Amino acid sequence: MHDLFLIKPGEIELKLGNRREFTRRLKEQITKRLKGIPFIFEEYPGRFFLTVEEKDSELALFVLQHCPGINGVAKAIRIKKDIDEICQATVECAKTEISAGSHSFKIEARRSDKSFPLDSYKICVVAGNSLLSEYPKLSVDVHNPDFIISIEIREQAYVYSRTVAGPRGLPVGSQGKGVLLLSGGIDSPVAGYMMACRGLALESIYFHSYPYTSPEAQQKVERLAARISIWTGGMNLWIVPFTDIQLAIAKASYEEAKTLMLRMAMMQVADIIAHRINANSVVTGESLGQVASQTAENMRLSQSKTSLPVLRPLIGIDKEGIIAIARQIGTYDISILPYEDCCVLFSPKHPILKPDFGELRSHFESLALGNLIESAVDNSERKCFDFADALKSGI
Amino acid sequence: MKDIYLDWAATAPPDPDIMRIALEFSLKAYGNPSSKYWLGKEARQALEESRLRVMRSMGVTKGSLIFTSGGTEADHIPIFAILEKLKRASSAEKPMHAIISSIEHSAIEEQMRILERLGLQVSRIDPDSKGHIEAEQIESRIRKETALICIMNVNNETGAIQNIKAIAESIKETVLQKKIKKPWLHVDAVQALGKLSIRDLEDYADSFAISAHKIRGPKGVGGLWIARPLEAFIRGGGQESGMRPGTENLFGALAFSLAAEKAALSMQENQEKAIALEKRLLDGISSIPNTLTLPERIPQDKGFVPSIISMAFPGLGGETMVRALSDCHIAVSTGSACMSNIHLAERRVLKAMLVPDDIAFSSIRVSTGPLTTPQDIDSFLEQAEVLYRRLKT
Repeated sequence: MHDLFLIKPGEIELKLGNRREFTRRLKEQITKRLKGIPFIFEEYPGRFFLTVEEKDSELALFVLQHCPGINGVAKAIRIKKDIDEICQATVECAKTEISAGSHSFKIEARRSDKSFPLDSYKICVVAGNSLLSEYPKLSVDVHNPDFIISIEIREQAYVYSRTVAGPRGLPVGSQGKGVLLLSGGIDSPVAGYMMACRGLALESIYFHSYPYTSPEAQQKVERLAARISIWTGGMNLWIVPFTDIQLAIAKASYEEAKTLMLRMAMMQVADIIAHRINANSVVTGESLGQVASQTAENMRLSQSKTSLPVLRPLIGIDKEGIIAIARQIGTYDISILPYEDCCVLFSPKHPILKPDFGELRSHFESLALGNLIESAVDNSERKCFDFADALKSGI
Repeated sequence: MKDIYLDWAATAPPDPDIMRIALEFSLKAYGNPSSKYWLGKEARQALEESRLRVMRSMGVTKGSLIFTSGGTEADHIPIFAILEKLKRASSAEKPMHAIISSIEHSAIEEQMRILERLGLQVSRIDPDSKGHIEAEQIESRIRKETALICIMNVNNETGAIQNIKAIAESIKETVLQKKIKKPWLHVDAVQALGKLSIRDLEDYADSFAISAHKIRGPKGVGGLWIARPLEAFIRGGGQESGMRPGTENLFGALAFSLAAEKAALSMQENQEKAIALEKRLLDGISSIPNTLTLPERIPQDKGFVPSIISMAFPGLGGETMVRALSDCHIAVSTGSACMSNIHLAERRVLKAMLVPDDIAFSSIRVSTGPLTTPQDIDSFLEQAEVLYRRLKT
């Protein structure tokens, strides 16, 4: 027995010239996540279809639900373009809904194949009547139905009832690759998720300042990386040993500038890694004004250490809004685990809010961190999280 | 690399001889002490002998000892005992009242917070800058509604010894003057057992809590000494005079009693050793620039047990130091974990002593025991100095 999933692509449909490339990416992402599972992927204008064995159905639905580039997915019945078969499938689809206690319904029909003799309205009427004659206690409610049966007349006919939302956006990798600065906090995992949904493949960078930061803090970041991999389909995590850089800054910089120097050094590390892995951008979880280091002036300073665009998807979202997304994607509960980094000693009481760009740039250069930064990148540990790790991260 | 264990206040390495004897015996005498046949009787006899052995080793002759699952439970029984009265008092004009020190172990502090939610009023007495509670501070807060006073004998972070005698006498005087009922005085003696004589507690306290694993006994067993029966909160099969129902932990009780006996026999010797180690540690710390003890300690200060010393390495987080020392196989603990939820709780004691936040944040606790050697102290000092120099910001 096999199950068929009808996939509704979102923005891919709008890509006139590049549709083929976007579709290829989406197929590649689905293939990667369904590793080891037999499936058939079919492309038609406006819809994709995935067929898997019934035993793999649950996993396939999960994969599609979390694959950027997909707007919605539904388990569907595929039949000939024959109104009797359509009516039969409609009754079949309704069975599950009725046994779940639904009383009212609505039928929505789409006729892409205009050669089909009945128009959309008539398809709804005929299919609706056949359902009512089978289940006389059901009633039609076009405004607030308990369930909706969708009928699509395309190259063949499809009937389905429950559409599950996908993450929308673009297939991962269709916008190249970015490096995500992943801390253990609430914001950066959300930024990663958002950019993955915009089609960016990601590798993450975590700055580990042992013994200032605990092994538990690192494990927390690893759990976050695994969790985001549900949407990215897998991710490399670069664990950058940052202690020596931090110590050098602490010893040679002055109190108010320490955080800024730290941010600049982090950005320089990100820039080096990005170039090594051919990434086209750096992603951060910064939100304007959220903390002192996230003023526009301070962002200018940190981003001056990379030639790549710094993507900040959370820039205009307040903390509450970020938390809402973090809860929705299941990173919040991991982020609030009490293993914060121990960088309190590095946080000045009165950080600089509006730095003198030139002066602080020269101050950073005077710290001469180049060699330390290069060697931190060279000594980084790289951990790979694939989709299977994401599944283990507790869904 | 040799393991250097300097966290005896957290727990002490179990005495292998004692554990073996207790294990072998409890394998043989496996009966339920409440059973009436020979196996039960054998277990019962060993249990009662263990109880007497613990009491004897403390020099306590009055009252009774109840075996519990540890210090925390022993602290909870007297607190819970006032629950029923609390319900009755809720309809009275003035709410029931308790007095505790603000440096009590979390077993007291956290449980009191629950009772506060149920309507109990709690006064918390801050210590002086040395971590000592003054009797007058308690005196002035005693009122008619005061049902319970909890003061710890030895503080687990600073080693400060509270003058229980003075406190108890002042309570007695106050209630006589005010012509009110004497509140129940509970003493958490978990850190005191084995380090100093607690014989006097039977004359001053109404109850006190002790724990086996601090004196090289097993974890999971403790004791509550009570001058007279209390209202039992946990009900069941009536074991431990009804105060702590549940089938008795014979292995634990026996091992506890043997550990208590050994600790009592070697107390003098251990104390002398601890004093020598204290001097070595204090001298060493004072020679590392910028470091300080919390509170400022001098060798052989009668106000402190010599085996517990808190110290600060300003500019370096306590947790960071603990981690770095751990990599050198040196075990110490922190009074200020860099964890938001435990953060405040763990710094509570130093905060109450008005230690500035940044100093408290950089503090660690070193605690020694009978197996600690002068070389252990030297290795610790040597590593701590190197790490401090390297990691200080």
